[in-house]
Amino acid sequence: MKRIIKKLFLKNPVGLLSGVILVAYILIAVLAPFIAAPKPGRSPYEIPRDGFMVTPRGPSAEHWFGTAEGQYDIFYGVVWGTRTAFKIAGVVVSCGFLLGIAIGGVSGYFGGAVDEITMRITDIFLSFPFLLAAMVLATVLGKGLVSMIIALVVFRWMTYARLVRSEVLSLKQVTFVEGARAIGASHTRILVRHILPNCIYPALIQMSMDIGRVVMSASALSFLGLGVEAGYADWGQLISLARNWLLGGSRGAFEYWHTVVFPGGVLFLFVLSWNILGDALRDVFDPRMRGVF
Amino acid sequence: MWTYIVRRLILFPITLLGLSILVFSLSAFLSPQERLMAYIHSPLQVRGPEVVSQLIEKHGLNDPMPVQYWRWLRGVLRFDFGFSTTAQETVAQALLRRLPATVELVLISLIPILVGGLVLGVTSAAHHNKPLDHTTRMIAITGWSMPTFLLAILIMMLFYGHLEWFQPGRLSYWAKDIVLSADFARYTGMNVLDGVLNGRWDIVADALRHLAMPALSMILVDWASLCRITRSSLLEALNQDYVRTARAKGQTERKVVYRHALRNALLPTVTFGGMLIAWLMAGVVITETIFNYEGIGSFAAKAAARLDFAGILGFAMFFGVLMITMNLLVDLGYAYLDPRVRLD
Repeated sequence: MKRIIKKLFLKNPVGLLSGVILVAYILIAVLAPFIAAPKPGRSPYEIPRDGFMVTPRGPSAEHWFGTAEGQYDIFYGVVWGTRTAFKIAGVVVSCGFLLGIAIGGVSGYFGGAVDEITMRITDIFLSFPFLLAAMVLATVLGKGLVSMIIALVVFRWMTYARLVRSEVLSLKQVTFVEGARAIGASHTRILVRHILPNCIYPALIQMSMDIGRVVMSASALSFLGLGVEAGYADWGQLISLARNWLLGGSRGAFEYWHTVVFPGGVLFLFVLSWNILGDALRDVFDPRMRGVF
Repeated sequence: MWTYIVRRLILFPITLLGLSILVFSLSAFLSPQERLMAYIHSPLQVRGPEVVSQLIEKHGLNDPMPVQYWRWLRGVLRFDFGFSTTAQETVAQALLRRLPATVELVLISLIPILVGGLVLGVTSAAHHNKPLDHTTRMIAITGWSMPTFLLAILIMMLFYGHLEWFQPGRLSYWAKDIVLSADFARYTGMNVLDGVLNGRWDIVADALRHLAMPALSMILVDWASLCRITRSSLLEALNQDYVRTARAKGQTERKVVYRHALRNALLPTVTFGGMLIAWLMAGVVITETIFNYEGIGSFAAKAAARLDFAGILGFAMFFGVLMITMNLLVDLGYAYLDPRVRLD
């Protein structure tokens, strides 16, 4: 463990920086009620509005990051949007991971016709680019956070399934599995106790690399109007509120810069940090890929 | 090799069938009223609630799902996806009309991505763990982490809002008048190509000016992925025994990298090149929407936002077929290039 931490952070300044940034995001998510106190009696994920004027207002002492179209407080949305991001990423990635492990494990372990059919189904699900597939499903399921999460999960298990399958294929020939079979262990026991724990690392690395991607796609869906409900604290939603103000106003093109830069910057930094961490993890755990992205 | 090709060709229709089941099962989430639009061809057909229930009866939308699937599939095979409320025409017409614009955008973006991604990936790998490599890696991972819609918005703010160099849309008003007039022959529907074929260079210039911003936002994002893949596959090749042999016999580093390793390393890049078109096609949904560029991507986004179910399911089916065909071509190309695959 010490060796891993040393390689991951101490020898890698960029990895360290991304780690620090991610810890900051976690702190913001955990401490959200203290950083931006929700109005009593309202759902904390509902961004408070200061009036109903359409035109966004710039940063001020009252609204640190300014307000978006419809006077939604951007600072509040950014802080609670961090929780939304972790919530979406957590649910989507862990569900995708579990589904993938189950499907890939069974497929690789039993082989033959089961394997062939499962892998062809996987191919069909993979034939759609992730964002488009999720977009179509989210449309059909109807707008909202839950249907967006379902849509993302349904198209996020395939990479894990393929990864686990290939690990299982190579592991099932190994002596300790043969030994377990020789003493009469059941299929379930061999798969769950002997094989799966040994192929969890590559899937974990994949998870860390997926978190950024899932949050990015979720924001894109919100931006297209297929994500969370209006007024829900979410980075993509805040950026989509900036859409009508991109070209600025009487005081130059960048008059409403704050409506894009704050939520956009927070989203970008989040995705970037997870991607760098995923890279660093892959460097440490997969010596074959050392130094490769 | 023939076994491999035959196997892939047999699997192709099966995969398409699976795709159609997947898309159809999506529509099972909808009510018969919502599904109805996939079966009609003009809004004039639907007038009043009685007509709607008559039509639902007529098209058997309350029948068991397998029966409905068969009926729907027969329509799809005739390229009939119903009527799109977003486009106010049939889904097939809407898709075909918008396809050239999207193809044009994807093709224009493709060349800079391939050239830039390859050159940087190779440079980065050849200078492994040197400052140049680290810089390229950082730029690539930054580009890779940039959400397309955010990048497109920033480009829009800078080039359209602030500098006023480029405009959204596909053509300026004056150019649109010329293109739609009788004197201008529409060979392909792609403005740049048609402009060249008609000898109207002013149209070509105007079309390129409108393509610049959306193309740039797609280039910057996908270029990073290609750079990553080229770099890692070249590094892997550089670790192989035959590279050590080449070095041992005193070959120059230049020749080792470009002659021996690069040739073998380019194979994954070829696969990616095929997938790249798919990725670009996915990127167009966001890019076209932001730049108000009328292609199938912005059509899909609009259809999704306005709950135009026939439109979105037709798009899914159309797009899925496109992707699966592309995958087949890439796999066959790969088998031709890499003998190891054929033995599989």
